Order: sequence, then structure tokens, then C-alpha cells
Amino acid sequence: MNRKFHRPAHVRGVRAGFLLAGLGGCTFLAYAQDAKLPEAPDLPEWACKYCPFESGFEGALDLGAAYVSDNAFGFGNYTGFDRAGPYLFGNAELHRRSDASINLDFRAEDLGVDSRVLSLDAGRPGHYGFHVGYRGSPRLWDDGAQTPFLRLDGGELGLPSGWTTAGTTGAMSNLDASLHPFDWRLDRRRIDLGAAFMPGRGPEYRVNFSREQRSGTQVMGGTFLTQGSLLPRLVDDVTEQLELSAALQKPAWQWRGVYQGSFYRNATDFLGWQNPYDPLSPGASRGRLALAPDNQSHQLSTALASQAVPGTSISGRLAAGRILQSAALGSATENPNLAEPLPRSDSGGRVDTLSGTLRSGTRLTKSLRLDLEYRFRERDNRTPAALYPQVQTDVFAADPRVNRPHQFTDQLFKLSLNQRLPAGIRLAAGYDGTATRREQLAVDRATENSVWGRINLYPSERSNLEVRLARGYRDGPAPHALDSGAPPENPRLRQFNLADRNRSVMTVRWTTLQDEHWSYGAGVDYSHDKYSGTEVGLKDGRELNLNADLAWTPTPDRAVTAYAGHGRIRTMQAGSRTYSSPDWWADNRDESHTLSLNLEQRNVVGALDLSANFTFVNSRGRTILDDGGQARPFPDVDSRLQGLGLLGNYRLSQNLSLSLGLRHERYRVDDWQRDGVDVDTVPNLLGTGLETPDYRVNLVYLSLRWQLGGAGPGVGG
Amino acid sequence: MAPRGVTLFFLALGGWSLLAQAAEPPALPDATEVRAAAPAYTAKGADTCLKCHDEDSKIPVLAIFKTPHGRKGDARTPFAQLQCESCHGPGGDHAQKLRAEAPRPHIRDFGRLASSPVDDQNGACLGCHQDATRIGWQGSAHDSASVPCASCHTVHAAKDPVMGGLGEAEVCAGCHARERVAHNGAFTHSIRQGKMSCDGCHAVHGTSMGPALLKQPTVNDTCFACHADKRGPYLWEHAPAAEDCTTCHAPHGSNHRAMLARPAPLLCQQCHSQAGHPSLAFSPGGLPSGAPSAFLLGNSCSNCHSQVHGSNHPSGAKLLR
Repeated sequence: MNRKFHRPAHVRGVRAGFLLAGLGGCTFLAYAQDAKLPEAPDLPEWACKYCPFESGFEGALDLGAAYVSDNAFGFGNYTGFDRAGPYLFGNAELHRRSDASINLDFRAEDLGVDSRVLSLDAGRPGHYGFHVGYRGSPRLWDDGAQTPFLRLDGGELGLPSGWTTAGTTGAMSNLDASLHPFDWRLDRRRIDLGAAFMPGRGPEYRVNFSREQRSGTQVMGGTFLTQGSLLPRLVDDVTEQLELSAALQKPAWQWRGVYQGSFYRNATDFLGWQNPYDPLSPGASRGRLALAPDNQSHQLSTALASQAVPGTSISGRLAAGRILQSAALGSATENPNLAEPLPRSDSGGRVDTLSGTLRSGTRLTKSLRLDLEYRFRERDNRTPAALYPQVQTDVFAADPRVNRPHQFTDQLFKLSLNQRLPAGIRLAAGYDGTATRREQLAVDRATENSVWGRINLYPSERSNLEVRLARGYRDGPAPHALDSGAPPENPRLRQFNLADRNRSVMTVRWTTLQDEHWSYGAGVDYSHDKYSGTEVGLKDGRELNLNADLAWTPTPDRAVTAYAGHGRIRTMQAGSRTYSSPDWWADNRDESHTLSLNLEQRNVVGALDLSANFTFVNSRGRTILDDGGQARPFPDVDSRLQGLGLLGNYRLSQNLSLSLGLRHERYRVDDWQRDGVDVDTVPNLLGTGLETPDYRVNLVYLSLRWQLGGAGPGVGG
Repeated sequence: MAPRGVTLFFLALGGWSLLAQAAEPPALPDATEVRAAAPAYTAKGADTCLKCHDEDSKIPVLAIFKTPHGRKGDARTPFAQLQCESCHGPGGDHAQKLRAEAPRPHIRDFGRLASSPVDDQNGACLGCHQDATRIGWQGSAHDSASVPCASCHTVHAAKDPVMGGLGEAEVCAGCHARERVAHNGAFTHSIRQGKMSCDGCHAVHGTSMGPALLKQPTVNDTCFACHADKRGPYLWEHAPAAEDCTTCHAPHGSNHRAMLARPAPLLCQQCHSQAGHPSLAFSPGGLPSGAPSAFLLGNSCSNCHSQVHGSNHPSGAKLLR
């Protein structure tokens, strides 16, 4: 049933063969030319007696204490400083340098908080090396969420005994008494292991393994037809990745072969929950959501590059992969009155991928270069299609549906010319052409043609002006009806990722390195997407970015850097309530303003160094809806961050220094999707009462830094 | 741009190419000629250079001995080979004694506004670093844009700022201003906190030869490295999610939760206006001060369609289970 969707094997074979032939050609040229390279001169008398080569141990140890003034989950996001109170923390690094034996690099950061990082690299450079690493990353959303759901054995969510169902959240009589708080957070803990072997002139071999565990709670929507709940979902999964590679490096050619394996295991495949509402049909008292299924991915790739022909480089890569997923499907419904047999016990998910690139660069003249590139990728979804019964949200039986495995192929061709002109001027222009073919979508083909030009001017020896312009046009056939069994989309709708589109892009950037004291620059980026054939859907998108930066180093002890940026994204779309012509329009504008300033002064008073940094970021989103009568603006979505950092460092002795620092952060978000939305605000959505961040925090820290040893003096020759 | 425009563009490119070739025939010197014309090396290598370029000079250089380049025990490094002149080229002319006022002959220098051509600078670096991780450098976006290696790398520093953490993001932001603005959005990866750097997703030397200098051959392969739970393949797929995560997400940051490119429900309504579930005009009347709407508040569309990345539930065709 599903076979008709697959790309014929000979098409895949021809494409892969074309790339392999290209890669083979590189190899031939490389071998043919390898012996012709000139040898380096032999100059053994260079003693290098003034060279301060490092040897022995060197390192530093930071030990300190910090105090956080307030509880602020947002402040702890990625940093781990989320609770008020004292913290002990530390940083350490240790290095060993030796010409004849093992070199060592050990690093520890943020010890004492959840964002700690540890890494150890050991080995003989150019011979072998080993790596061990650990990284913690706390992702913190909110600690003010509430829910009546209780976690039962097996990860199921239940309601307190005596729970009284109701038709709306407001009528749930024991809701308030049943609420309990939970933290919406996800912690990642990653371990890395690696080894590299470089045996002489032969290939280099590398093996890398990582294991990342995620644990925490996320919020996920679950619904019974029109009655929804936000559910606290337990996250407990592991991703392991293995990479084996071999590489060969020659003066005129390089080769690399890689195997990548990725294995995802989820402790729970499903999330079941008890319906807090009055059941909409008999038996609809429990629901079950599928969670991410266990899956694995394998990919083999090979890449080759050759610079054997003078003035020409050729390179290519070919990768073939397979993704497998065969987690048990469970039942069609939790409703015993609507149970239906399934055609399969698992989806038999399998996707074969093939991607490749072939590229060449040719110097046509001393100053003119031609680059060509062909790239393709293919997703061949071999998941069996079958007719599955559909029980809508455990409430009623709907028409059965056939799953439609998504597959596509896209190809890209690029050509560019790059010319150097007198006075350092560089001129470049190019063409990019893309052809995409998809199965099972209303628009099954698309082509995009783009041209671009770029000029780099040097008005003075220390200044550079770059201007880039591009125009592109994407088009494809009109949407056609699908026999998927799903209700049809409005025929006037064009999905924005498939719709005809005119794209214009402009970039202007100015950079000046005045002298060793001053540098400054400014830039403008502008792009405009016009969806000319769209009546319903996204019709227009514009983006503008302005930025300027400055660096001033008046003396080796003093430095000032500043940055200011402004970004604006505006989109306009149309919708139709009546499944016909557009009858409402929305104008969405996102803006952000950024300002940062850094000051650094060494040796302020004797051995005292001071630094300060200030950051201000304001992001604002404004949506205006015009439903045919009048423009109706939503409240602004607004986030505002003000950060100030002060640091003083005093050198007590050659190896000992004391640091005193302060970080102040003020962060506030206004978001109408969250603000004022309590657990029972929406009659048909049992919420979590999530709060948007609004905090003001001070972090004060004091640390002592001990410099260990020091690099050994230079030993000439 | 119409097909005729493409044709005209190609004709212009062809004409440009022909004119350039006619004006400048591709006569490349052979290796023997290059060697004969090359200036001499210094008499004592680095010892000659360090007589002038010490820590008090205008261009201090000694920090290189704290870096991998400055280790003579590794046969691959400059200081196991031609020392300073491994990278800067023969310095005999540059180091010679000159009469007062006489201009000092040029030696290969590095950087965005250096006087040495970019090809010459990068050729010196690639002489050693044209290895497996730079197998796709030639013809990559940075190579095509003539970005000098030293535009990002600071070789004469104890710690090259671009080699990880916040320093790397700062260096990248020097050119990628659009991404810098996005990183300051309300919802971002942990770039601003210095816990993630650009090389978490990008292999800036073009290793994968994929789009946007990503580490993996495709956008989704790159995202799945950390978000393998979204990989599927699901029984019921959401085609844009299976094809390209950036259809809905702005990975450099956005004003909207989950780094969505636009706010829900508007984002969803840009692709969905189905019979029986039409694209309604959700107005501010659906806020808590009016008649609170589950279509607008909380997780908006995903209050119900929570399986937007795909579902493995037998009854999950509408991504509700």
C-alpha cells in the first residue's frame, strides 16, 4: 500500500552514483598530483632560544561564596542560582605541558550550582588524546504553577479522592482545595567520553560517546473534545550518541568517514490522566497521550576534498542514514465503550535518508573565482501505511484514517563568481536554484530561483563597506485535493512554507579599525517576503535590523566596548471565519532593543582591577486584529531585562587575588497568554496558573583565586 | 524574479566571466618559479623576530607560547617547523636592517583589514589546518565570502576568544548582527548565559557541507542531536516538523514561547483553515477581562493539539492524542 510513495531505487542510485563518481574523481586527481608538492626548506639551526616555551604544571583555583537576595526562578534559568540564600562555588583549571610526555587540561566551572561543567583532556598532541566531560544545564520556566493532578504509580495522573467532576472549571467544587504547586523545570545532565589516535602518517581515528539524561516536569495539553487540561508531565529520558570516525590528511587531499548513532529511550511512552470534567460520552473518564517514542538513528557518511589541480578545489560528501521507531502503539482509546482493534501493534516506523554535496571552486584567472555546488537531501519514509480506527479524544468514534508518511526530496544548485579588483575591491554574484518535491502534501512541487550580488569596498586602508543584495522567487503548482480523509483546507489558503513567494534581501555593513585604540562599525539588514498568490494565510513578512558597535582601548589598561541593536519583524496575514474569502486580518509586530556597555580598568590603585557591564534588552510584541469592522489591538507582549555587573579584583600577591562582584538583574515579562490566567479562568481549560517572570535579584560574591605554579621558563633549543 | 530575469542574470555572469578571462589569462606560476622568486628566510628564525616583537612592542606576540601553536613537541605546530615564518612566510626582507625613514618591507599579516590578500592568509592557515574538520571549507559560505581565518581567530592570545562560550558568540555576533539581536529575545537558547555557544549547532569551517554551516547535513538532524525526542518517525506526522524545524521555530531566539517564529494562534492559522474547524478571528475579547478563550490563552492551539511534532497514538491523526 505504501510502496507507491517511495522513490524508485534507480533514481536514488543514480544520484548517489553521481556523487560517488565526483568523489572518486577527487581521489584520482589527488593521487595523481600528490607527489608534485614542493618540500619545505630545512633550517635546523634556528635555536629559538628566546622562545618562552611552557612546561610543567600551571593552573588556578577559585573558591568563593555567593549570596542571592531573592527567590527568582528566571534568574536561575541555565545558571542554577534560583533560590535566595548562600551558595558555595568554585572554579578550577589545571594544565600540564610537556614536549615528551602527557599533556593535561582540566577545567571545572560553576561548582556548587546545577550548571556545573567539568572536563578533562589528556594525551600527547599529535599522537593520542582522551576526553572526559560533564555538563549540567537547568532549564527553568516557572515555580508558581499549580495543578490538582497527582502523580500515580506508572506515571499516570489522577485526581484527589472525592474529586467532583463538573462541566466547567469554575464549577469544580473542590478545585481550590486540591491544588498543589509544582516546578516547571527540566534538568539536562550530559557525560562525554572521547578518544583520538593519530598513528604517524596513517589515518586518524576518533571515537566519541555521550549520554544525556533529562529529568523534570513539563506542561502538556490534554483534551476531551472541547474540555482541555494542562497536565504536569514527568520527563525522564536518555539520549546516547556514538560517533566513530577515521580521517586521512594529505597535502593535496583529505578524506573522512564517519558513523553516527543516536539512541533515544523514554521511560514512559504514554501519559494517562483522569478526566476532571463531566464525561462528554459514557466511558470518557480517562485519556491517554502518546509521548515521544523510543527511537534510534544510524548514519554513515564519507567526505573527500582535493586541492590537487592548481587553482581548483573539489569536495563532496555523501551520507546515508536510517531512523527506526517501533514503540508499542497501545490502544485506540481508553474508553471501554469505543474500543477498536488495531491493524498493527507498532508503527514499524522507518525512514531512510540520503544526502550529499558536490562542490568545486576554480580560479579562472588570478583574480576571478568560480564556485559551483550541487546539494540534495532525501527523506524516504518507509513506515507502513494502514487504516487506523480513530476515536476522537476518547469521546466518539470517527472515520478511520490512513497514516500518510511524509517524504520529500530537495535539490539545490549554486553558482557564484567572485572577483578581486584593484584597491582591494571584491565583487561577487551568484545564483541559487532549489527544487523540492514532496509526497502527500497539497502542493507537491516547488522551485525557487535566487540571484544575489555583493560588493566589498575599502574606502580607506582600515575601513570596509560591504553591500549585499538578493532577490528570489519561489513558485509551484496550485494546491490539489488530497485523499487523506482529513477535512479539506480552505481553497484560498496558501501554507506559507509552500506558497509562492518573492523575497528581497539587503545587507549593508561598515567596519572601521581606526588604529590600535579605536574600532567601530554599523550595519543594516532588511528582508521582505511577499506572498503574492495568497488570499488566506501569511501575506507579507518584513524584517529590519539596525546595529552599531564600538571598541575603545585608549591604553593597554583601559577598554570600553558598546553595542546597540534594534530588530523589527512585521507579518501580515488574513483569515476566513466562513471558509471562503478573507474576512479578518492580523498585523503582528515584534521589536527588540538592545544596549550593552562594558568598561574595564586595570591597575586602578596599585593592584586593583575594576570592570563593569550594563545590559538593557526590551522585546515587545504587538498584535492588531482587524475583523472587518475595526482594528482591535491586543495588549503588548513585553519583556524587559536590565542587568548590571560590577567586579573588583585585587592582587594580594603574585599568586593570590581576591574578587568581589555584584550582579543585579531586573526582569519583567507581560504576556497576555499567561497574565491573569488562573487555573480556572477559562471555563473549558483547567490551567496551571503559570506566572510570567517578574523579579529583581542581587547576587553578591566573594572569591579567592590561587594561581598554581606557572609555566616553566623558556628552554631554548 | 521571472525566468527571463534568471536568463539575463546568467548571460551577465557569462559575459563577466569572459571579460575577466580575456583581460587576465589564467597563467599561474609553477612551483619552481615561486621558490626562485620567494624572499629569504631570516637568519635565526623566531630569535630574529622576537628581538623586535616582544611584549612591549606595538604588536606583542609572546602569548602564542601559551597556545597549541607554541608547542615544539608536537610535530604539526609552527614551532616544530619554521617557527614564526611557518605562518608569516619568509621574513628575511622584513627583518633586514634599513636606513632611517626607509619603509619596512611587508610580511604576511593576518586579519580582516590586513594588507595580505585573504587567499594568501587562509592558504597559510590551511597549509596545516586543511584537515578532516575543514574538509568542507573550500566553497563554504565563509570561504566564498572571503572571510579571513584571523577575522575570527586571535592566534597571539593565551585564550582565543572564539574557542568556546560567551567569547565565541561575541566574535560571531561581530558579523552576524541579526542573530545577535535574536539572542536577546525573550525566548532563546542559553547563548546569553554563556552556557551554549554557536558551535553547538554550527560547524563554521563547513564540515558537514550542509546548509547554514550546520554541524549535521540537515537542519532537523542538527536539532535532533539535543532534541531526539522529536525525531520520530511518528505514526502521524506533522509534515513541516518532519521536514524543517525552522518552519515554526526561530532557533536564534524570538519574542514568543518555545522560540516560535510568530505567536500562536496566528502562526498555526497561517497554514490551517479547515472545513469544520475554520480559522476564527480571535480578538482581545477572548482575554481574561472578557470571555476567556482556550483558543487564545495558555498554550493556545496546543492546549488541544499538543502533539505538534507528531503523534504515536493510534487515534492521533489530528495530533490531539
